[in-house]
Amino acid sequence: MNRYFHYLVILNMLANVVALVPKVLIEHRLNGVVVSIFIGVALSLLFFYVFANSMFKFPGKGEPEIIKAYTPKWFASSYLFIIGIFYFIAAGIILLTFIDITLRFINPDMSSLYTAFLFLSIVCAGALMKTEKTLYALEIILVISLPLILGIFLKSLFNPYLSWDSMKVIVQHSFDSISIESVGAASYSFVGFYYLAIYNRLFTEKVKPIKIRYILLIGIVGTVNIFTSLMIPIGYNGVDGIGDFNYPWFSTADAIRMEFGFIERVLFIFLLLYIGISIISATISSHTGLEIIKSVLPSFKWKNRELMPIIVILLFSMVTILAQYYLPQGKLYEFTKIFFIGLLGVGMFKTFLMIWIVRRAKK
Amino acid sequence: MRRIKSQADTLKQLLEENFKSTEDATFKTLDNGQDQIEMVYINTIVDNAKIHDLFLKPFFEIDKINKYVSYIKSLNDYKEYKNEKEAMKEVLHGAIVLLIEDEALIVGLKLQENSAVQNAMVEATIMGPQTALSENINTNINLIRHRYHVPTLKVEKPMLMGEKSKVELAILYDEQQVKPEVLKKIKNQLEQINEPIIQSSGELHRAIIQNNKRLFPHLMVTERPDRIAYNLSQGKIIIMIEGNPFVLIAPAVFYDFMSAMEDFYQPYWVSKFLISLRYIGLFISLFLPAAYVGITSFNPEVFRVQLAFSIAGSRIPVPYPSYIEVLFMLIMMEMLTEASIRLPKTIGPTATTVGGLILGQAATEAGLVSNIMIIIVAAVAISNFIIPINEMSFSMRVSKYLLLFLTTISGLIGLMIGTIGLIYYLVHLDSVGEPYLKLFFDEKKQQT
Repeated sequence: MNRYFHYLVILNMLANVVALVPKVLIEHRLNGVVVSIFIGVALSLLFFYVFANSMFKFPGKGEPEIIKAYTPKWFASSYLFIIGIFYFIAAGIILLTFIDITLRFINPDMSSLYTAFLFLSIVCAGALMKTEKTLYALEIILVISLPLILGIFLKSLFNPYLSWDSMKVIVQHSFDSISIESVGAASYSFVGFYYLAIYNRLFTEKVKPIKIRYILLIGIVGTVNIFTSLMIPIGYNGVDGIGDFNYPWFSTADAIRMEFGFIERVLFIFLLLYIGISIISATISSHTGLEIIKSVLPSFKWKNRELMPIIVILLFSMVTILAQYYLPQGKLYEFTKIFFIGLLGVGMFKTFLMIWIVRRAKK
Repeated sequence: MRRIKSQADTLKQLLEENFKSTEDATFKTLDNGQDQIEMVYINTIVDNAKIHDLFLKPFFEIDKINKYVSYIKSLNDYKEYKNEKEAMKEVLHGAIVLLIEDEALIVGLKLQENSAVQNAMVEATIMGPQTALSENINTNINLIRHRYHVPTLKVEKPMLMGEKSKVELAILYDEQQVKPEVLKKIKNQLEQINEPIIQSSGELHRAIIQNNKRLFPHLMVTERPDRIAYNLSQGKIIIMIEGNPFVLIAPAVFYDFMSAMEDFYQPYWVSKFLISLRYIGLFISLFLPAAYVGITSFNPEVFRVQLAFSIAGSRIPVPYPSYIEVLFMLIMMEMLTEASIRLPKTIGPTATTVGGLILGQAATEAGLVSNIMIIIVAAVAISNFIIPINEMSFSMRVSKYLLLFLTTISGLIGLMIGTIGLIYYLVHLDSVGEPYLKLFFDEKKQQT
């Protein structure tokens, strides 16, 4: 198995903190969140298994090439366009959320437009890079930040002020009314495999199909990951108290203190690491979206330079900047919930589509 | 016969036209009673001591002119006459033209005064080979061949560099290790160069890379024969030019610039320690000034209270924002560095001591900069020089200002954005088609 594939899978497990996943889960903390998480994990592992295996059956090909080869043209272009927009929405949610986090926790004086401009300029530049280059950047950023983030998770786990009783309360409510929103939020941690839609172009070697064992391993790691992002904030702030926070994880990180470090508040290390994670996550998402949408749109050249990607990415930036005004934090949260549910629907549809395509390809 | 006759005559005419007016051109007619021959050469670039032994003595001893011609043809550096243009070029590169009857014979007899092997100055090591290259291309190839005894080592001299300078250029590679597509690319790029004058590897480097507005070195410049031999064994291509003790190594990746040959000569853990020291140095020299501005001016709450207070305390007498303080000190430090490169060796230490003392002591006492700033500048200056390859340390010197600028206008966010931007930029670069920055390079099976 290619190591870059693991990075793509890990990326979303880290990025879920920024993508409002903990917030959604915490909102439903007394509505059977535990069972919802397990349902979400089971569903997304199924999607994972089918999608990744069917992509691996076409080594070196991205989803656009496969879809175009096996489905009618009208379907292929409309489907790819919608899927591409989905990736952009994922990138947009992460960016908008992190811009808001930046304004709240790091630079309250800076204008939101300027912050958005800063983030967008780097994300757009990254998205326009070659596909393999984005992977190299991803690898570097993950290798630097993953150990530190794990360290912070561990440190938070061994804190004497962590209240295990509050977490038990959540488990007690495991079977109360289950909500589809939390199922969708739980599945977000696993959707890293969707990046294969483009990154499969680089995996030119024929690989063996993924084994159930590997899927189980991913399931365990992901489940632990989701439960950490849900439970630790609750353990620090109490079952009732946690409901007051907009960004539960960042507020929790501020409750952790490093006695001997010259940076005392863990929050800042956490924030700086998460700037990296959210930027690379937005870059990878928007790169995937860009490549998919590019495959549908006509190419448009000026002085030997492909202009279409630049137009698409500028459009994305404009929409993101406008969304800052029309989709303030509260509305963005509602929108994200709809996105999570949509993610489930898309996953379902994609799974059936891929099964059908693999069957056609065999004939 | 008619063709050969015109050959010698036209050549003689051409040579006379071009070189008669130069003082150092010699036109000599030898006559031993039976036969007459003509010699043409530029006496400042040929080995005058050998002329007597090689040409004059035999001419008067060998009685038959045919025998003399075949003697000349058997000489080591005899070159076939191709056309007038080639012959002219050879004369300019230190060849002797003999016009015997109707034939033109060319013998290379180049003398170069720069073939002394120099001590390694730029990339010195404590243990390990102490000598570097010379300024003579053939001596350099000799040095490398003595370190790399492999039949697949190929030396090519495909062209002369520069329309006017016309210096010799050699490409060395191990045929077995080299990637053919990289070799082809390098040769292509070399052919496309049309600069009038090229005299140093740095200049050649600039000419080879098409995008010549670059911040980071794409090819490596080195003076160490051991590094060259090592890189040959790694399948890299060496580009040498005449009159320069530095060669280019292509392709080069980011890690190459962070490695010293010393790493191979030390025990394993020592060398690992040294390498990590270098990365820490890189980190300090890049981020410290920017982080100082970001933390003191934007987010003092990042540090623990005691530290934040002591920094703020030392900044009490300073009457302006932190970025001016940092810029002022950094630029002073750069001036010192630049000055000590250009100064004569005898004055150098004086200037740096005086400069350092005045800057360090007086600037703080005058309340222009804080004490902590002095420590930071010193740390930045020292850790910048820890980067073993000079080119990279220069590039990092510049990048530091970009980060400083971003942090000045947007705080710690700017620092992070700048860092990620730097990673993106480095990742995005290519060196002759090979990725420039990528983790875990030496994996046997390349995955993507």
